[in-house]
Amino acid sequence: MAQPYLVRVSSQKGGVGKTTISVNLAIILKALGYSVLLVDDDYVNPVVAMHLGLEEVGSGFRAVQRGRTRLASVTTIHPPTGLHVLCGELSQKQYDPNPESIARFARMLHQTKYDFVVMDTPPGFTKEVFVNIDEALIVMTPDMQATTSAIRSSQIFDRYHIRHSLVVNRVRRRAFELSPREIESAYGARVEAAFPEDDSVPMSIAAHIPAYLYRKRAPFSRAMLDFSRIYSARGEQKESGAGGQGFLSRLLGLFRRG
Amino acid sequence: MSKPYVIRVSSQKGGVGKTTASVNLAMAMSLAGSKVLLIDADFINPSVGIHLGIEGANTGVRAVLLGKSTLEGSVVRHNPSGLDVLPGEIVSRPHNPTVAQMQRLFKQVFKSTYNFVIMDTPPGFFPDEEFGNFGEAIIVTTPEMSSCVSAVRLANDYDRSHLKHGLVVNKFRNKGYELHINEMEEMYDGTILAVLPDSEIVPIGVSERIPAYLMNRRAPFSSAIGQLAEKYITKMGFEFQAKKSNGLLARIAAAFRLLFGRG
Repeated sequence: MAQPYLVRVSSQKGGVGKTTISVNLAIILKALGYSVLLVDDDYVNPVVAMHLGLEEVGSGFRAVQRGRTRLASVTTIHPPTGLHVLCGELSQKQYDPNPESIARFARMLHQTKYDFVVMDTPPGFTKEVFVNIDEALIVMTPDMQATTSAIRSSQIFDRYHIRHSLVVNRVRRRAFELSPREIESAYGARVEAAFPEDDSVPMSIAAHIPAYLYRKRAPFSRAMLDFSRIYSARGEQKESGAGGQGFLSRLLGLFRRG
Repeated sequence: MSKPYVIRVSSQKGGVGKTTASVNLAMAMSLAGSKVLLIDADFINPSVGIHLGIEGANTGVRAVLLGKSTLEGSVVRHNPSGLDVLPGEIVSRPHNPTVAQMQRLFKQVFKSTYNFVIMDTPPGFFPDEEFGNFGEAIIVTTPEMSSCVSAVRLANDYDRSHLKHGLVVNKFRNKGYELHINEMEEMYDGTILAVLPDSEIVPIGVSERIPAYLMNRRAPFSSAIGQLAEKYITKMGFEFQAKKSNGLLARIAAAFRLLFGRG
């Protein structure tokens, strides 16, 4: 049986939109017909449940990670979409992730029947968090602080041979921002998507409905949909064992949606 | 001589504007005549240097933590404002200092002659053992639910450690979908020290490497920062030296003085 494609949405800098991207990517992949698990691993500020309007229950996240509880018994289902969610668990003190339990957790996720597992990550990660995953999706905003932190992340990922890609969020196309081209030349690779700054995002969060479900035609939702369509091809490639992500396979991904 | 008053600028959620608040508050205090040291203790994502245009300093807070350099030896002067800065080093591997290393830094801080020390911190937690060193903490939040919930959580942590704290609301746009000031006050159950309006001079300032307060002191963001600085300075019994207005008339007068060599 095919393994799920495990992606960690990450950034060293906080407040760039990791949770927003995680939630909406998961929601759209689900809407495109894939089976998806969304995991809130942000123990500093777990807000996936808030974004989705889910009741906050003692999630049992840590118990699953330590192998004491089965995943299926603590997954919540998001009623409007049927998306499976493993809600976050707040750690009162600085949580010191044990590399072994993290690696085991990732292995366990790989044995599930999902097509995609999307994981939200706290800011300021260490490399241990990225053991046994398929990709780190770096989120940044078009400013200098986020760019330096994205470059730093990419250096860590390169050193440990972790596949990574970059998306830019809250793009306003103003003169004081860095342009996608400048970011690409600094980062040394392609910017996979640029999501526009859009009032529908904070409005949707205030309403506890993911932006994509809140306003499907809003600029952010459209950009997110385009990105997710292309992204969905990655799970398929993993299944077929194909390497690159050329134009053809991406085109194929477009047709496979729904 | 009294010990410097150390203010910890903090939040659990990232991206709310800790560095923006730290840099501009420190700048405003310094320009109002206080002796201020700004420490970039955000070991995860140090960006004070980016805000002030002093990136690439070859020493900084890490050197002091590790005992490789002294505080005086690592402080960089921000020339336009006279503010002293202990920058963070950009390194590829984030480094969490031990309690002993932090004590080494604090020891030097308390021996210094600064009136105020503003410390920018990473999102998340700090060991409780260090809280005794701070005069108080500023919790920065944005007017949205996720960030306010984490601000309240942090406030509870501070209460448990008996550290005084106040709330600064940043990026306030006064839109319907935001939390209202009253709602935040109710959630937080404490004083709101300042409300900083969302303003483009902040990102423009960062891209120009000139803090917003220095760029335009009359903008609503800057006047809110100025009032916060005044609160602290007068509270600690120092004199708040209101700068001569940099309005049109004052600038013309200055130009005349320059031209005709008077005064």
